[in-house]
Amino acid sequence: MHLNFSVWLTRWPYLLQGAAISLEIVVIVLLLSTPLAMIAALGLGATNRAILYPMMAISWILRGIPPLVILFVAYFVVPQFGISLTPLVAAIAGFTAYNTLVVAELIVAGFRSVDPGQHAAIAALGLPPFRAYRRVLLPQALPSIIPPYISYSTDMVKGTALAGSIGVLELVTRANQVILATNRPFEILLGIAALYGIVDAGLMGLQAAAERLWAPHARR
Amino acid sequence: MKATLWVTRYDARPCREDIASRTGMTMIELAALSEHGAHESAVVNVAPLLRIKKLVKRYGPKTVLHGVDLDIPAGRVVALIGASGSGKSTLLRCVNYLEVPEPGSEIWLDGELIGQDARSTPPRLLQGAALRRQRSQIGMVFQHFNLFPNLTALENITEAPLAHRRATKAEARMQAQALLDQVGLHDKAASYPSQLSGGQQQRVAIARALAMKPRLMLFDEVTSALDPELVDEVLKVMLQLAQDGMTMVVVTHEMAFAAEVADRVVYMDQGRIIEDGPPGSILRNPRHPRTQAFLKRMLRTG
Amino acid sequence: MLTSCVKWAPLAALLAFAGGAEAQSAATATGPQVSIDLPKPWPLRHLVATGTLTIATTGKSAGVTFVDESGKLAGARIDLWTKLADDLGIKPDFVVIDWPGVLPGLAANRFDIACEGASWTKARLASPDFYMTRPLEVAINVGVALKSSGIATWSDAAGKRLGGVKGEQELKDLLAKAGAKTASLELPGVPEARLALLNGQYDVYGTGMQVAQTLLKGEDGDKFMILGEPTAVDASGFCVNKNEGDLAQAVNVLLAKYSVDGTMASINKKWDMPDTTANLAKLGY
Repeated sequence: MHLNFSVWLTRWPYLLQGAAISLEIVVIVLLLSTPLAMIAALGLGATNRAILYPMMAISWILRGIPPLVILFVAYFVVPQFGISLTPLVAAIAGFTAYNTLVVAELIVAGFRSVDPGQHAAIAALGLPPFRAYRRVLLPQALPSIIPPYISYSTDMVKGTALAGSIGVLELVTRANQVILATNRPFEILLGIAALYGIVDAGLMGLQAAAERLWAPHARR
Repeated sequence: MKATLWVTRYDARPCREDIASRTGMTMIELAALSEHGAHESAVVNVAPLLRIKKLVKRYGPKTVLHGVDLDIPAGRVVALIGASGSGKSTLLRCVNYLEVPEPGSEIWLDGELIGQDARSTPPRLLQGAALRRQRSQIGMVFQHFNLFPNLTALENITEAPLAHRRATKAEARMQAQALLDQVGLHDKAASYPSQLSGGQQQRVAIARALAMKPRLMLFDEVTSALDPELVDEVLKVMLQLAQDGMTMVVVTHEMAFAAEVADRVVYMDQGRIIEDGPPGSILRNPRHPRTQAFLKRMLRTG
Repeated sequence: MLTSCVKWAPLAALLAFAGGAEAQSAATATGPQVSIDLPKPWPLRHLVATGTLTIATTGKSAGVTFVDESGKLAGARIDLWTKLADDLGIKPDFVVIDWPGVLPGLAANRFDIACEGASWTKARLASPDFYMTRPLEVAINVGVALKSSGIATWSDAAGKRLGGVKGEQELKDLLAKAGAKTASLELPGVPEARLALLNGQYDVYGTGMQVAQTLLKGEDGDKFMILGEPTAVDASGFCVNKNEGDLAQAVNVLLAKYSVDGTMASINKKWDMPDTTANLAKLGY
């Protein structure tokens, strides 16, 4: 087998656009799902059972269903109720729904990893909840939230390929089209693997930076 | 500069109106008492700073406190001793409602019902800001320090005064530095807890609890997690605090400290107070066989 | 390359017949000029998006619907749909979606029209989820094997591993032809099916004539061969949204028009697709 990467000479703009769409999905989904996840985490960490149990049910359902099915629901089922989303919007909505609950569980686990003694100290000092979260609990929970969060985001970059099944022309879908048109599968696949590698390397650099930023006391 | 900022507060001699509000006595009754030769400060001692009434605590089917009554006058140091599982730590944690006692239990601090709304019948549990304000009047020091590891020693101390808007940032920092001086850590303001020894961390924790100028300090086995050579530096700070007139409840296994510092020693066993009296009589001549057995054990191991 | 394959007698005859039919239909076009007056724009009341013909296509079928060098959709069906939309007086809007999403999307009212050529089957014609238009072409489905596999006839293929694209009628026809109940390999698309066949991960690929010919013409094409007898010869058409009877009607009228006015023939010629007009005539179209 001889490799001939000349297909990239003419096809690169089309494929790079696909990479841009994949990245766009990841960025928007993370921007939307992270604050939503913080709210959902409050529900999942609630002591009030009227909030906790419905949240646990929602989390169980959304995290239990394969993301592909959620995308299909967003694109094919939601329009039955009169809301017609474009493939890109449906994909973003679907991924956001799934991601919100996954990240919420990460956040809840992160806060649970904080020593219970910290809660006792907060209560004994009478620190108000919001200030306690901002000054004490969040900075201690973040170091255990950030690594799985970034690692999950890395998975999501790859996961965007699923959006192709509801008509989003993301990187993998475009690669498949180009493979069909050129019959050069290995050159195209190696190329897009490199593109994914670049994006993932960027995310991992971000993780390293975040860990340094959020854990000043753990550095010593 | 040795700070005595907070000493004056609880040493101040109360006026008659103040006594009336603390004891629930009428001014006429007070005047009558006064005519009978009672000094006002003696009346204050009649109405204790901390009053624990019928304190019951259960975990599921297990009752850990069986209706404990305990009165502690202002300025006194009470050592709470007993075997592990005797309920002494639980009692301490019920005082500031870190543990919620069973209905019917009452904790009074300086005439104010803690953790419950006295105006409703039956009293409702207090939540939110009202409970936080009450807790801020009671300082607590934990066995494992529970300092905030992401904050410096100074920030640990300023956190509560700033959160309660008791001080400006500059004032809070000045007060915190004074407290650090007082506990002998004047050069550790910028250190993180992980950079301090256990004894130093515990002294920061004491300073943190004092920053809210509490009326009462609770110490929950504060030296048990320390290496033996670090125990003394913490006990020294506590001794100084006692000499300055702070009201203290100290759960401890340090019998020597109890003997030297405490005005009273309370021995607890299986959720009940078995013996209560001056350290001299309790520690040297315990009357109850279980106290005798406990002290024998302590002397052997300690 | 078709004629170079010796064991191709029935297929060659079909194609030869198709070629001869061109002259025949031209000869019958005598007598009075008949014309029909078509509405424009066509008053379509149930379009998914007003003023737009929303078309679902896989973009993964060489010559039919694929992405060209400039990244644009191209192919015989893309041209035909564009022409259809134009004659209906609306804009075409292509949604590129893999085959497993096409019919569900049509049923879910996401698209007006779909399928680059879905075989007419009992089930599809009777489906409550979509309408099938009149046939566009006679689809010849075949089996493709590696020359090196030694499979040349259907009797050689007995007991071999069969495969193709998941959900395609072409795969079902292959299984029926070989008397097998299940496929050993079902792939998501043509490129995957081609690679897996090339790798020897299965033995016979059930696909359409058009796809098979593209494989033979492309990279490593000399390694493939088409088995001598088609697995099925059937008619195939578009699928139309079940809410849009008016669109189905309009498309049928226009497709009939295109087959007689030469539009269909010229598009097929442009993309090097076989003209199957004569075989369609056998079905009355």
